[in-house]
Amino acid sequence: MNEHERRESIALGGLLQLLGRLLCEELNPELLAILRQPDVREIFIGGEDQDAACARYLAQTWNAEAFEKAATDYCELFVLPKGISPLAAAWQTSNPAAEQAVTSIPKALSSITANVALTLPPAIDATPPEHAGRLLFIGGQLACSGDPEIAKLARPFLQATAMPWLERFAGTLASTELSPFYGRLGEILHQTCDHYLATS
Amino acid sequence: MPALPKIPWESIGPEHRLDYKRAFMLIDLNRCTGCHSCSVSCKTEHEVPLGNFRMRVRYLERPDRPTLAFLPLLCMQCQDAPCLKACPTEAIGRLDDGRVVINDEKCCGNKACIAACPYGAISINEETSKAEKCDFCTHRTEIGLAPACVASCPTDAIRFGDLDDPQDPVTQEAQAKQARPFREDADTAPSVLYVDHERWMEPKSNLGVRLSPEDDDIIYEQNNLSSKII
Amino acid sequence: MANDLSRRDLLKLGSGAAAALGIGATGLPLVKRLSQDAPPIDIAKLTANKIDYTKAKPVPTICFGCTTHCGVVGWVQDGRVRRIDGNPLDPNSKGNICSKAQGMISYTYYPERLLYPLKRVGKRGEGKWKRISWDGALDEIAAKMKPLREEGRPEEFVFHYGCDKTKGYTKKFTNAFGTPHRLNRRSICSSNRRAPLMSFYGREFEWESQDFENTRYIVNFGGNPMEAYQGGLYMMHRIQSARVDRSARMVTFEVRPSATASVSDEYFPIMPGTDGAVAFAMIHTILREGLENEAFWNRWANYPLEEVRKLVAEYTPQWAEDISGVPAADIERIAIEFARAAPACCTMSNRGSAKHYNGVQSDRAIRMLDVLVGNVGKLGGFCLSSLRGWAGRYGQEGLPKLSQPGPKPSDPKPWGLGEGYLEEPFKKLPEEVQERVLGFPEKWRKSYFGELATPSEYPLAWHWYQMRVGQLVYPYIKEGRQKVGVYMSFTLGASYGYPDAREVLLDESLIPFHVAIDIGYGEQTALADIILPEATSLERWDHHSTNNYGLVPYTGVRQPLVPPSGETRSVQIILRDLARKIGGGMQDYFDFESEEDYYREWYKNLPVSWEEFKRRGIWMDPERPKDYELYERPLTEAELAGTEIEENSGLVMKDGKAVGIMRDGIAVRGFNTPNKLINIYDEIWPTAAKAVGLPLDDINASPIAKWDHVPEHRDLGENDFIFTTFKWNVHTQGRSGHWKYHAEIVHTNPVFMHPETGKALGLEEGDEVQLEVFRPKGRTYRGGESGVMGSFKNHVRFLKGMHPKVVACSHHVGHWEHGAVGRSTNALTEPAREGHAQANDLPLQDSDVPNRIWWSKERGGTGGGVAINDALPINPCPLVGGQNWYDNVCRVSKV
Repeated sequence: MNEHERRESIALGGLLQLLGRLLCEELNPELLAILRQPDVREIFIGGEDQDAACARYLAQTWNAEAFEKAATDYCELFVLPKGISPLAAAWQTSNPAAEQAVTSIPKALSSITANVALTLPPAIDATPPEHAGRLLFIGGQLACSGDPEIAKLARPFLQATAMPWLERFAGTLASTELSPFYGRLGEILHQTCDHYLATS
Repeated sequence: MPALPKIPWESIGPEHRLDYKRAFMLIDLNRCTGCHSCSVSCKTEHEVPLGNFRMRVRYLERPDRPTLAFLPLLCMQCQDAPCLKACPTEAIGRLDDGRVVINDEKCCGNKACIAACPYGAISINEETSKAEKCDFCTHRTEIGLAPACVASCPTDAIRFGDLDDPQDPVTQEAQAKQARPFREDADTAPSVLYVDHERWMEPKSNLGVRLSPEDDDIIYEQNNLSSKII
Repeated sequence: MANDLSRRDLLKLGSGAAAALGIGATGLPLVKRLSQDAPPIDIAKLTANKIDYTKAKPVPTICFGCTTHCGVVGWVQDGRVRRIDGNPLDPNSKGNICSKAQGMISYTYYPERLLYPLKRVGKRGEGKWKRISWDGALDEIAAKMKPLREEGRPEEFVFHYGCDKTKGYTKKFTNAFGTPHRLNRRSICSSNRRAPLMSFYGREFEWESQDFENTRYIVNFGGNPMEAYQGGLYMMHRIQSARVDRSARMVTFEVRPSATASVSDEYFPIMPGTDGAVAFAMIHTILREGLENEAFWNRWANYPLEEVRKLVAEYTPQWAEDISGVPAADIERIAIEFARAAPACCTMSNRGSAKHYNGVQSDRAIRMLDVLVGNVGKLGGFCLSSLRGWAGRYGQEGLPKLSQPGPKPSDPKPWGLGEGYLEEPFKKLPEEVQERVLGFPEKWRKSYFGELATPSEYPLAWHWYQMRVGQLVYPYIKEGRQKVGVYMSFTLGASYGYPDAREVLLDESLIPFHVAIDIGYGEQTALADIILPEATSLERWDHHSTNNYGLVPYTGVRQPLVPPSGETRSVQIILRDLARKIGGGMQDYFDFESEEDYYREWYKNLPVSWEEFKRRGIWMDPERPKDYELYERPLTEAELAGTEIEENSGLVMKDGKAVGIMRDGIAVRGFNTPNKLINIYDEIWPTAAKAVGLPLDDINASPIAKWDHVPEHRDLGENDFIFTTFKWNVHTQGRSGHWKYHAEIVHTNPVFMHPETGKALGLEEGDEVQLEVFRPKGRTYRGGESGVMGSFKNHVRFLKGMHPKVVACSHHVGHWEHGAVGRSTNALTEPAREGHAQANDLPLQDSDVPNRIWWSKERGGTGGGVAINDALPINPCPLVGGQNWYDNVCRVSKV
């Protein structure tokens, strides 16, 4: 892996880890700080009018009330049954040949963990194996590995476990009116799937 | 303390492979209570998506009594399989013990098999456009386990045996009780035999496992009766 | 959606993120390879695959797909449960399972499962929540519960469960806290049919174990073991085997073509609430033909046969035909066939016969049949093997003692006046309640714990043990009979399945604080203030024992196959940690760290090692004889030591208690009743009637089985029908609506009726109807109030097997909470729906999930059925309190 490839891999890893964390954790001061990082901010908010709403949202005064509303939004979207479930089982279609069955996720995970030591932060670890955020974060950790053999696993890992259902999840999330922030997150995730995970 | 009984689920492996010459199923309609243990077990075993079925239990109103008859239906694993003959890409083949298996890598989805099947046993997966049906759980029989439906039936209404083995108790019972297949007029020599299947069941059995607009079963209810549900 | 992001944009975002996350240029060594010899991972080769049984791990456990609790084996592959099989070592189920076993996999892995503790935001019932930590949740709950205990009003903590199979673990918690309020749903289910059994045979035998393996003739009054019934599966495989392999015959009286009726050798549609008449006519016939077992009756029944002859003199088969619709000639023939098959014959009955105004007395008549022909405890007959298995106190001699480890908190004190009673909570009760209770016999006063646990108007709901009257809990709270401080729901679906629940649960003045422990976000948890997500049955421990239809006591263990998903925790851990936070001595009863150690201690007296027991999942002594004729067992010398014989009764007395009875000069154990006999005649009914002011001419006040009509069934008009509910074999109670493969089979609950009934109403199959249910007329809650209780709309289906005067719907479906399958919706989720219309370049359409929920309305299907519970009145049977589900009179009209 040359220098350029490695830098790209780390960038991809950073992206995947951020997306993963945003799906597993409610917005908190730490995540907001990451979202204020100039490059992150530019891409997250850059774009058309929909994202002006996102910009306003992130720029609001983040008092206790705002954090509680953010937590309620998170719950309504990603935890409650009438939300947009980040679990694979909610998005599987009747196409077992074209995509992985939910049960192959544990198999892929156990292959990885048999060979590689993963440390997951508590918020990620609290999720079940087929949670979109967990899978993205693990992919991100693989991509950031100093070992090029492991870094190369990130993309096939996510292709095996998260595609194409993740794209459907992302697309639905992108269209939500509940939260401009999570809507934008959906768009970014969808584009990530398109650019990085779709098999050409 | 007397010896504890053996633990049956610990004897699994290729050395226990069910080595039949002619695999068959015996379905005793006198024992079936319509519990769906078989069909739900099949769904779970093969992760069959909603809307597709490899096996189904139909509830039929009897003509002679005011009660229901229960009819488990699946692929009849015909010895002379019309689906096999009809397939233009040779995607349907036969294993050593006579069961019929679809190789979905070769399937082109032209549905010739479905048109040819007298038993409505084949479904098309609408997403992949490939054909699917029961394969007598090859992945289980290879290591000594009976097919999932057989293992899960609580009344021994579905059993698995070797029709070519006269010592097989399932075969003996099939003969003693004169078990017969459905649609004998189709002349396909099915390997699924029914005890006390009755003529009047035939029209309903033709619908097989698929959902269809003509299906007026009180279960798997569809919105297809004369007055539509609003 | 803007397609404005290029690869470069994403990489830029990513690098920024990496920097912000502290991932350096060389990459954090976060992820290390564990070993250089590990085989290379070829993820591309990981395809969708079948279960590989040579790699998957089999772990025995106990099913929780219904309340029968068969021994099963779960297959775990790559940390995920893939399939459930029966455990052949279970002597009850013998390796058999039904479809609901696979439901455990559904409810463990469905996408809308509750995985995190939640706290409500905004108003209760608004549906807005946020995640909180376990510590935060338990701290808040403890803070609300502590004052109740410290201020001497622990009874304001109400623990309300739907399905508690922890075999005493939660009771430890409620006792340690000091509240008597462990509320259940026994009366909603089967208390009407348990009371007659306990009256006849004693507390230990609220449930029978017919010897179906060896029986030749079964007379079934409305039972449906092929689809439901406590122990249904144990009965199903034995009955089918007996019928098909050994020519046993089963006759069923039913109101619809249930699976049991359909496999029976004979099926007779019967007018609801008239099973007792048929049973009496059978008794009449048997006596007329001289087919009774006089010797057995005289030896064991406490009522002279002569009196029985007088009792049934008018109850002829023709009389019964006029009432029930069952042909007289058939009633006669069946009675004779039944008696001739004795002792290898038995009756069967459950809610179908018993959940009526006259149902308790009907079941007493049905139970009389077995005593009359002397099949009780005999080979192929009506046997009694204790339901409480290991914990029972009759027939468990020689079994290793199995009990919950650790110190046992004492039961709370009864409420009343004087020494040994709690006066404070008693004095808070309404005046008339206090008066009534003070007038009770001492035995009842000593077991009275307030109106929720021991409703004073229904003493027989708690005379033998606390069956309670669950359907009155919410009305009583509303009426102010009991103040509630903290209300805890545990696997309870009351908001979906109990009348009046929602109104009370939404009222914060009545329920100031509601904690719900459950595995899914259903109608009950939606009305909580804090939700604690529970581990499923595949993820936890429990002790297991139940009555064996193979007639030998056995025990099993539920053990985890996989760790709890997400942040869920077992109820054992939840209550332990809550006890520790509440403190004040509660923590002493929950002094354990590892659950496995707790259960290992529980089973320590088994003659097998713990590892071996876990490997098998079940233990039974294979040499132990079956529980036939337990009552004839002679007393041992040790048991006889120090006893005296009471002359008149023949009772063998020790320290003021009867330990046996003399029969023909031999001291034998006798039955589990105070007089050691079978109590055909029992004063408890008129005693209870007098205590609550029920007129003695009410059928429920009769000391002997009696016939009378259900009050609202007299003078039924041509357009009046009886509305009945029923259970399907693929569902269980109110908690299986979201099991996908089961919902696929049954997702609707049409109104079933006879085609002739439909024709007379001008209906075609599939037509939409409005069904109105009227209030009951008997001496019950708001009985006699006129008018419609409620109504619902649904479509009709015709079945020739329906009784022409009966219309029937199942429940199970019609959920408005739970996930996509539970609500039978294929719609895009609500937060997304509004935005979807604009985003037409999105790849996501319904077609992307083509067949997912094919029965949803969005896909042109029937949708998910109708919730019917609000239309059904609270209708507790006098004295016993069982909900009289099947008395409801209704009208049906085309919409």
